[in-house]
Amino acid sequence: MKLFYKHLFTSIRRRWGQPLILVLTLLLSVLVTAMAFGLSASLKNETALRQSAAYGKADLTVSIGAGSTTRFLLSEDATALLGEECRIAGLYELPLLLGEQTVLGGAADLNAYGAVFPLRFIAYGEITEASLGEVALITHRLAKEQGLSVGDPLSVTVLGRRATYTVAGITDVSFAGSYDVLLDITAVTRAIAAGSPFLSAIGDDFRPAGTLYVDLPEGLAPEEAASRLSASPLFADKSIVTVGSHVATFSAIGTVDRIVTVIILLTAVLGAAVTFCCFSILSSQRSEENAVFMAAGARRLWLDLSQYAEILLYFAVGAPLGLLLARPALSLLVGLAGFVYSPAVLTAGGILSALLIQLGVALLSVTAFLLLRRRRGGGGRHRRLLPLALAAALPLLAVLALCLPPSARFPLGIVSFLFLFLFIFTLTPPLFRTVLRWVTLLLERRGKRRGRPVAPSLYYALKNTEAVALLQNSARLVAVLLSILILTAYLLVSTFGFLGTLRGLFCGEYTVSGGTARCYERIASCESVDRVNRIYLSSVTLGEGRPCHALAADAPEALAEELNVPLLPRGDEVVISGELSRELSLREGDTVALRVGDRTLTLTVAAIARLGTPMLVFDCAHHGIPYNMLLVAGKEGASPAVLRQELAAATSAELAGVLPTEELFALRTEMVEIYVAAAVALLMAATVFSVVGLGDNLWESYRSRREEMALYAASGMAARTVRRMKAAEVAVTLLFALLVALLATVIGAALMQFALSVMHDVLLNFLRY
Amino acid sequence: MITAENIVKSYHGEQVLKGVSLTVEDGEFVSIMGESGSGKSTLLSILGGFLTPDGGRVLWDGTPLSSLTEARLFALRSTRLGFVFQFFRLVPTLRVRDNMLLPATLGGRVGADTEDYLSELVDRLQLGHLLGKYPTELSGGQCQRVAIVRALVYRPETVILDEPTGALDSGMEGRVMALLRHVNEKEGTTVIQVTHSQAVAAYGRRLIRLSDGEICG
Repeated sequence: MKLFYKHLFTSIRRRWGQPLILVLTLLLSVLVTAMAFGLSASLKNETALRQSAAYGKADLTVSIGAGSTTRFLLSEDATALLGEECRIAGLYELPLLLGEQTVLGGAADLNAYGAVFPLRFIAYGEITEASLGEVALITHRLAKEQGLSVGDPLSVTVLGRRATYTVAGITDVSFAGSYDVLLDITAVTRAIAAGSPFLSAIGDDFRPAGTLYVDLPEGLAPEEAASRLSASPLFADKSIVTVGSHVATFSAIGTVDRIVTVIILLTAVLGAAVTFCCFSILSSQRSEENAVFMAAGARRLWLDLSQYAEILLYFAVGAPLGLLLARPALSLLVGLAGFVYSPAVLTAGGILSALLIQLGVALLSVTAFLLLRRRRGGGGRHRRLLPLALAAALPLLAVLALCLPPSARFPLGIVSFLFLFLFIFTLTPPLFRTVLRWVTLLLERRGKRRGRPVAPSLYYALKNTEAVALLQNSARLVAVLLSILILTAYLLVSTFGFLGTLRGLFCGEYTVSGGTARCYERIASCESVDRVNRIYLSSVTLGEGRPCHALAADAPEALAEELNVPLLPRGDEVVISGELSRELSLREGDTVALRVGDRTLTLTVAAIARLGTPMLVFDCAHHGIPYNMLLVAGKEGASPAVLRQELAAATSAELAGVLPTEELFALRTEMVEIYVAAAVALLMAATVFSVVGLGDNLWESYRSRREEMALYAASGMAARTVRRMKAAEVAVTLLFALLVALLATVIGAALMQFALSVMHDVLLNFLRY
Repeated sequence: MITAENIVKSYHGEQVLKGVSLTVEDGEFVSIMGESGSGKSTLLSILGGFLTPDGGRVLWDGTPLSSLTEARLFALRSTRLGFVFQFFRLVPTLRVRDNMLLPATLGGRVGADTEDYLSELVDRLQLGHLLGKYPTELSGGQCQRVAIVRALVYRPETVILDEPTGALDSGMEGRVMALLRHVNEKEGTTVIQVTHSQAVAAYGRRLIRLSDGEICG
């Protein structure tokens, strides 16, 4: 035994190519897995801190809608109902034009805001009571982007009016979790008062808000406070939501765990494939030595145990290096993903899980390799049966998935993908050999008919590829890699398509937030305006916890034609998308619960439409839920600049923000795009080591056949033909791998639907309205 | 006609061939004998154009091999010369039949005639049941017979064999030598073989003895 291990170490020292690849593979596997766990922990932390930033110390939020009978909320009214001990921050959302760029800003009574939202300044100037209306607080991000510092002037267009403020403070995070600029509400009312004698008469005491953030005193429960407010006619038609409810519906955490599972799965699959291929090469390199050991009386068990010892040795070298790199790599990723609240978090549990998972995968890969090698002698039938068994298992899994409730499909989907990759891995070599045999036979027959060889370089490349296990290994490695890449590309294209659909939900160039009935009428009378509609868009929960988006409009033409909703639902009716119908097994006539904020509605499915996303359309006005936006479509041929000017003028006396529809969605999809980019970066890292493994396989396939190549030359093959033959071997291998990957994608079409629904969930959870 | 003029070849500073000159006429059957390390295999490789001599030259029908372009040298190997290496050198990734037809295919000589001749050679050397196998599945003797068929199947003008019967039993040795005698006499193929065996050497019509890198008889 001792001698045997001595030989093993010598062998590793002499032929260090494969051991190095294996160490790198294990290093990257542990690195990516630890990063995935770290990303999950960091994101959970970031989300919790973001939620805290979004609501501060508030227990309750009160918001105004477009259907409200009043145009604003006053914190004094809420204080009168809830008591002086309450601290209330009123905030108005204001899209600001900074040059050509639209920035989301907010306006608040800065003193009251600071009582509910703790502010952390990076730089701070002097603010006095007298200067409140002339100053702006900005985020560090905006300051960096615009090159601004404390004391600099900030020129913006607010509600159609140009105004200049002085930067008085720079904070590390955004205001109320969303806004880059915070103005004192006095500054805004002064700007509006210039065109409104009414506001001008009231003066600076008028401090309206679109949303009130209420910090309740101890002893007053949020539900009790909500009930008191709802009972008052001043707040009866407002949206009152407890912060606990906001947080509960923001369920991105489960989504992140799913992303982490998928990343670990892909890493495991690629790592296992590379490990298997490397051991195949090592085995072929050591076949003679092992035969000598066997002849000298070494037991098969020793040989097998030495393989486990070898992988453990590589793991002992690669895994700590992977962990060492995980922290800086995660910090980089977290920085790129735009985390502002949480640093990179690498927990002991995450590190241990990463180590155990990758160790398990490495040991399983070696076991699979040993089992297949043992059966190579007399177990050919088993090897042929394995892909067939896997092929039979895939439809069975699909049937099983249909029988299970949607919530239980995720683990099954993961298992199905594992089976698919295993199927590709085991099927590729025998299928490859069969196809090659047919093609060479065809070439042989054509050659006989012609009386001269047809493409000898291709002919012998096919013959070689049929016999060289390393080339077949390369084919399966590429097939797995390509199928993963095709699948990911499909998901990404679908994701951007999905985002495109979300951006194009409404048919109109501008949205106006906070627009009241009077604002509606003013806009409708604009010369360049063809149509103005009241619309509603929000994140809601359907059935028992299915997150989706809800739309509503006062007329069908407000919705994009692609949504295929010719008739809007009325009363208790709801139109749901095909995806939701399938997932929740809903048919026309069924009743379903819809949770909007704190309210639960019972609706009847009136129609199932091809909305393109998990989405529903309902009649919000019927249920007393106010429309939250106005949608404006310009007349055909009307100048966009003129239209924008008219809208600015129409809303100048209102606390209403005008925003191009595209920008409204773009501002909200920015985070999603960052997360998608981060996921792609992780996948690319995983791809790197399979490409290294592939290069190694191809190189080894030539290195070990130098003598054969010389024999071809000795038999009369021209050097150019030998070179062509080598190139043809690679081309044939890659082409076949591509075909298998495409075939796998076709076979996995049902699985792709599953993957898409997971991806849509991911987006829905990140894309909150 | 193959002519070697004053061939000199050294390996790692040690002279293996020390000015060997010989002429082999068309249709001759020449046996070269000598002790191990006397330079027999090196001489055969130089005659076949697989090795370049340090000194002297080899002429095929008056044309120096060194003057041939790479393409013409490859053409010569796949049309005029059949070579059997000492350790058979079969391509492990090609099945037996493909190995046998390799030079014929590369030389563009695969046709009904070649197929018939292949069947005849396979029958003579009892290889019919091995055609679909890979060389790694064959014994040493079987590999040697496959290498001999490969060298003969496209009817080259000259066959050079390095220890053609080293791995064969006496029965098969007789069959192989009878075959070589047959192609020499009936086809007019020039045969040059290296052997240790007196009995095998006796099949040739001329015997050249090599000792310490020089022809000694």
